Amino acid sequence: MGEFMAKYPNTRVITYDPVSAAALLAANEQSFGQRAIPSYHFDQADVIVSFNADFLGTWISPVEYARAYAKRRKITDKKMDNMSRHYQVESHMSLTGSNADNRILVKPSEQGAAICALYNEVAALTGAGSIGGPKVNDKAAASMKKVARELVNAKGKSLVVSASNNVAEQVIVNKINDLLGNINTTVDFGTLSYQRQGDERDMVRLIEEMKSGQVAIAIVWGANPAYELPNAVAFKEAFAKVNTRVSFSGVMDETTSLCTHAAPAHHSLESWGDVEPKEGHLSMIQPTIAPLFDTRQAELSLLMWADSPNLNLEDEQPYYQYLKSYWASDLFGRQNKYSTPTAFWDMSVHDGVFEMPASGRTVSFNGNVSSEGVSKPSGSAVEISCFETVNIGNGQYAHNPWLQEMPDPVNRSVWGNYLAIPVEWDGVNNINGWQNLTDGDHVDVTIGGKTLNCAVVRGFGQMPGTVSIALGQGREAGGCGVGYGVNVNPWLGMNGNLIQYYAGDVQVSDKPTSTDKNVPCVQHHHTMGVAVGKEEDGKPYFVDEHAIGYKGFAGALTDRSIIFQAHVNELPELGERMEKFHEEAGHLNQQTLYPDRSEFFGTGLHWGMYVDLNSCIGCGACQVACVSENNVPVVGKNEVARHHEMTWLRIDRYFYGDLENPKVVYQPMMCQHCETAPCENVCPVNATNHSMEGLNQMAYNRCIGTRYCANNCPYKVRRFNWLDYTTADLWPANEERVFHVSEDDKPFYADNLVRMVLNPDVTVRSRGVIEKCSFCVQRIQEGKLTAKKETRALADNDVRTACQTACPTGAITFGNLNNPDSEVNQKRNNAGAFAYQVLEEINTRPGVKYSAKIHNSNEELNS
Amino acid sequence: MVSESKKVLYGLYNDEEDLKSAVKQARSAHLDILDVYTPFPVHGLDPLLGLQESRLHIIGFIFGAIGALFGFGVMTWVFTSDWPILFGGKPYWSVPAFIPITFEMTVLFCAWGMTITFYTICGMWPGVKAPTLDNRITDDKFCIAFDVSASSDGQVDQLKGFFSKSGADEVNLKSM
Amino acid sequence: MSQAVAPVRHVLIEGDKSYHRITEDLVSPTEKAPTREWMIAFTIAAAFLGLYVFAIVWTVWKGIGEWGANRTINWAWDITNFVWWIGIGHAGTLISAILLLFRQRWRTGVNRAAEAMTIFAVMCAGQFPIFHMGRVWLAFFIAPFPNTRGPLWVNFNSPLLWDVFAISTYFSVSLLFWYTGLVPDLATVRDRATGFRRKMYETFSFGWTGSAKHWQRWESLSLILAGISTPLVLSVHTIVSFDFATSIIPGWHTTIFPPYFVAGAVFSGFAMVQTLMVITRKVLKLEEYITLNHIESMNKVIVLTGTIVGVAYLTELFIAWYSGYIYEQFAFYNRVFGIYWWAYFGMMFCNVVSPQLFWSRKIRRSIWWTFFLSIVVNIGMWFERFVIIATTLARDYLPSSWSYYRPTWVEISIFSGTIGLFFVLYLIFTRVAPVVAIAEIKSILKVAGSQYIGPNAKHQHGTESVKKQDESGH
Repeated sequence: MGEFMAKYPNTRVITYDPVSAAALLAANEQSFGQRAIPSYHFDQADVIVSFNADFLGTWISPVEYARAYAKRRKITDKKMDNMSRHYQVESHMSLTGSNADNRILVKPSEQGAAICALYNEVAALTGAGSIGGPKVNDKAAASMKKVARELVNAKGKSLVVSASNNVAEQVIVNKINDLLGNINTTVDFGTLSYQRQGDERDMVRLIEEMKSGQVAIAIVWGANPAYELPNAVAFKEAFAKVNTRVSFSGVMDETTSLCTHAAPAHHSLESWGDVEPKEGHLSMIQPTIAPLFDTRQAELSLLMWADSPNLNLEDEQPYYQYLKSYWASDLFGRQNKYSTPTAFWDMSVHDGVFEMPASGRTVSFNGNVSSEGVSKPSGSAVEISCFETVNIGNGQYAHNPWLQEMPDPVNRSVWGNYLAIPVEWDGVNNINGWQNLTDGDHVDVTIGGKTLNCAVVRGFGQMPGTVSIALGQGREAGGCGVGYGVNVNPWLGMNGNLIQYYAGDVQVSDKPTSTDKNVPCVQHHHTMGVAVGKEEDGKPYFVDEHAIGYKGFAGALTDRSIIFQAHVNELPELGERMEKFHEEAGHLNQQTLYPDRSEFFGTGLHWGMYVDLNSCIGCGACQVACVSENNVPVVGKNEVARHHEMTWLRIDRYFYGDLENPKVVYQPMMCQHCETAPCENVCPVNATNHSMEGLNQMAYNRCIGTRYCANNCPYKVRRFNWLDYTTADLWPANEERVFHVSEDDKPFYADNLVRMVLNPDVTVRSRGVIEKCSFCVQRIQEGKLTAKKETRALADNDVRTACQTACPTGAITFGNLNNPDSEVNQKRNNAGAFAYQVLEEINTRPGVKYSAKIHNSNEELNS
Repeated sequence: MVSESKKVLYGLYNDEEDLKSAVKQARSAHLDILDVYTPFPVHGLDPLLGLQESRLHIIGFIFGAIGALFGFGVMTWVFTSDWPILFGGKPYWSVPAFIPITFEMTVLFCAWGMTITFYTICGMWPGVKAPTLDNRITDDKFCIAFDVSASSDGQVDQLKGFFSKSGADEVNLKSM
Repeated sequence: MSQAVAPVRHVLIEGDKSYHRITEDLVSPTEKAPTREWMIAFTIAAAFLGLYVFAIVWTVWKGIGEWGANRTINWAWDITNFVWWIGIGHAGTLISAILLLFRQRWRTGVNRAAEAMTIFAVMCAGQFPIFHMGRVWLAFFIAPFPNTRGPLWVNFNSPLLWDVFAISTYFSVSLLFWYTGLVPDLATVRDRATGFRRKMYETFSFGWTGSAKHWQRWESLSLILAGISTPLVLSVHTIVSFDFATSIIPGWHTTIFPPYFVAGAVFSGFAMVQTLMVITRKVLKLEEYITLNHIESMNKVIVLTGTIVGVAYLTELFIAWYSGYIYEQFAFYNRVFGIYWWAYFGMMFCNVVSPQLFWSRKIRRSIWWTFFLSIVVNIGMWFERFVIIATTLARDYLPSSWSYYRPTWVEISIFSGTIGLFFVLYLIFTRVAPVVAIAEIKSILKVAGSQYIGPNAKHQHGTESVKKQDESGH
């Protein structure tokens, strides 16, 4: 870039982020002199307060934060006095909010007021002065008092973060952290994060400049402003006035289709490069395949246009050489681990990462705080918040069918964005959506004069008086995401030219404009005991058990042995309860017609898994990893609506607790590889049986598709190829209903380019065949073969399933149960009675154990 | 019942009671009855004719036993010797699970064995031409037949006399 | 041979028939040209059969995804229809076999048609396990034959495989039983036929002569076939019930299923026989052979088995409560009060409540009530299987998997198409073979004919010769 700008001094680089953190950056510059994001150490925080920051899902560095966060959530022993407490202040149920111990409900426009309220409480306890500010709702205000006390008691070991895009609010948050002694401990500027650098105010200026004809050439790289900006219309008008418009994008997205020139860059898998997401942490981008199409790496294009003297076009890979010499000349000098540039380069390429020495920087808070500029509550009847989802972002991944088909962790819907509405109990036997809307209804939503027709989904945990909808859908060009959902970016307002991800004055049509019975949601039932008030005997009044049919059925949901949950203070009682459960289940499981066969698995390998529900944040990475590893077909929206989805691993999401502000438990559910599998017994043709290593095997070639095994599975983990999703069999592709495409477009896997995504180690199944999780048997075989070739025993780390490797928090552990030192055995033993099998008493003897879900909510908050 | 060329003298009766008394008379007169034909099974006729009880039930039992052993044996061999596979934690020789098929094989073999035996020993098969004496036998006539290929005229007359005495409605001679 | 005669004996053959009259009445429908009613009925049935073929080809070509089943409710209309048809088929064998063992003479009026109904019902039933397969072109995998894949055998533990053996045994044994009984009657038809028809019936009657020795073996064979068919019927529907009883799904995993299913099969089978007989006797003018006494006897069986089925329903509910096991309790709560409650109430009303009307002698002997209630019973039995299959699967162990099922036009076409298939076969049957067992009717004439017993008896039973009757001007 530097060389390009040297050649063309009139060049300006304007960066903006798809979801902006510009206010945070500006506030950090103002408060600490660093226009950067600090490292947040969630593992060192006893108390975490997040103002609408989805730090486990999408906010800045979710994988890093999730790993650290989970360290403080796992049960390591029966006491667990080390568990963190997590407060989430939000209006809609975000992924992070669903994992929180307490959710404090405030309307989107009240975030500023909530921040002020917390500041004032903390200030009162630490001797600083109040700053006044707008008032937040009473319930939240009362909660802030208690939260402040806890924060102060955990001085230096707490963390307050905010996703607000208002500078004044972020400055106040900085000061809260300062008062709590968090600066330079949990808020660490020693290693800066470069994961957000943009500022949309620059884009506003740019639009003005383009409009007035001051811009001759525009090059768009890695951005899609014609879709992502709230003022996209203005952008498009202004952009048209630029003479030469070049795009480096590889797809014809909304912005590229407005350009005069397309200079498509390599795909990242075809590129050389380096990145520094965090200060001093270098990572290599290395190509895995020669370029498939006539593309050129963007960096190379820029260097060529800059007539760079450092570029040798005679080289086979000019940019590679350029990069290498840059590392030698520039980066090499800044480190002291390797003594020669060659060693430095080669080892970095080998390792893929390199860590420079830490900077050791500390900062201190400068300046004042004031409530001036804090956003004021709008007072409108209905407000909306718009948020990034973990799978789609703000549209960056909308054209990835795997990610479109991955159900949203919270609303479990696919291929589109859905307006989440609050729910309420009608007092008799129905959990109704607001305004009697329900899943599948479509409504017209008008904000700021712009009307969009949205599909509705009931949002458990959505604050009354608010609705919410995800960003990133309603794409108009560029790939398979076109035509799904609505683009809500135009609804986002600006405050001081900073994008605000909420809006007031939301008008929703009284009645649905249409209703679609086929709801593309993979779960039909969402709750496992949500209550409103209490029964006469003091037990909670579970409204979902009352809604389940005429007069309701007590225990219909809460007595099932699927999820065990308790407050961390009740661990001993839970332990007793679970001991008793194990004893009863064990007794029932002894009553068998056939003798016990466990000795089959006593020697050799016996594969098993442990899923820690306290680490699982529900992000769904494991689900997508499984799809990619095992060639699981994508079936499209219509088929998912018919409950024909094919995902082998699903994350069941259950709401429980209070109806209006429920808790959430995520349960990754895959084939349990039962020792006494009900499915194996009933296949007439022998297509499924058990291996000596404890795997439930599936012979796709043999399956004739009677689906008895799928019926007999109590966990319902088996998936049937209802139609020709993979074009892999004798009959021609014939599923017009499978994909939302025109006649010209072929089904995904019929296209040769898309087929390159398939894993060659795994078959592609034809129509009419059952498939299910295989514990990544191809990886098991590979691990065994590697050990065999190296003439050594199989080590614990030789085999890692795809879901295990993708999980950011280490929730999934897989290994050999016959190895007493394997990680999976250690975790199971550490969990003790808290480890259980789902439906343990029906004698399926699953190979997967789960942990009880523990939460650490502050029971005093009645929020 | 292979039809070779022979001469048959037969009488037709209108009622099975008449038939039965006629058969009694013929047996006491030691007349050598070739066969008796009726439109439906007449109770009490078999002992009069001195017919031995059919041993089809023995055949049925043998075939059934073969079926049971075959079914159970094949399943045992397949599951314990040829290709033992683990199914849902069951032992390889899962006897309770073998019972339904064993039972069905018993019935299958018994039924088919008996039926094929029946048709074979009766000389019946699709397309076999029936050596019918009279089309009305399958309607409402009861028939006693004597083989007179080797009989003298006197014997034939004796038989004709027997027929008229026993109440036969018609008497006919037929070459087959 | 004199037989012990009960003092109260129903007239089973009305109209003072002679043997020849019986032959005339029962064979002439196969000799005359098809009536207009037959042509209309056949056309309609054939149209449905065509619809069936179309829907099946559509399914095989495109995939089971054209149906409404999904990842939770993998079986719905397909297996409901399978069990429904098999259940219907069992009545025929019951009438032939069990009633033979119990020496119930009235079976002779209906057994031939009922056995034919069994064959056709099993043929209709067999369509479903075949075409519900995802890869039906590999259906031969289900046969245990030596092969070059190992040899790879089948899974003898699987109730579906037991079904394969049971249904194929049942079909072939029923076919044997029916056909063996039919051979003498085909001989009767043969001996009246000329030309091409004679050649056809000669082939199909296997050269039957009516020899006493053959009759003796025939009776022995029939008796033993009846003797093994009886446990066969019980075992076949028991094995069909094992498809559910040996699974672990709450609502399926229950030991009451074998007797419950068998009783239900008899129940629905008799109802279907009634439907067919009421029409057949009217159209073919066989009211004197399929008398009101036959109708009444079958209605008694219906009320008996309907009550057994009702007791079974109540037992299920009681045991679910008594078990104290939440999944079982919820499964039944859901049946009564859940999303498919209307199917459960349909089932209860049609199967338990409505047949109770047959306690009334007047209703038992009413043709219109019989016809109406027989259809109601079959609707109820269809709902029973639907409740067992779809309702149970829709709400099983894990609430996250709960789903809803709606049939598509393809499934509806297939089901109504099999009804077309059934009637096509039945209508063809009525044209080519005698609908009533001629020889057996003749054999009970003297003990059940109207001129021998009952209020209008002119003669003593059993001992007088027919010839004398004819002389008295009959």
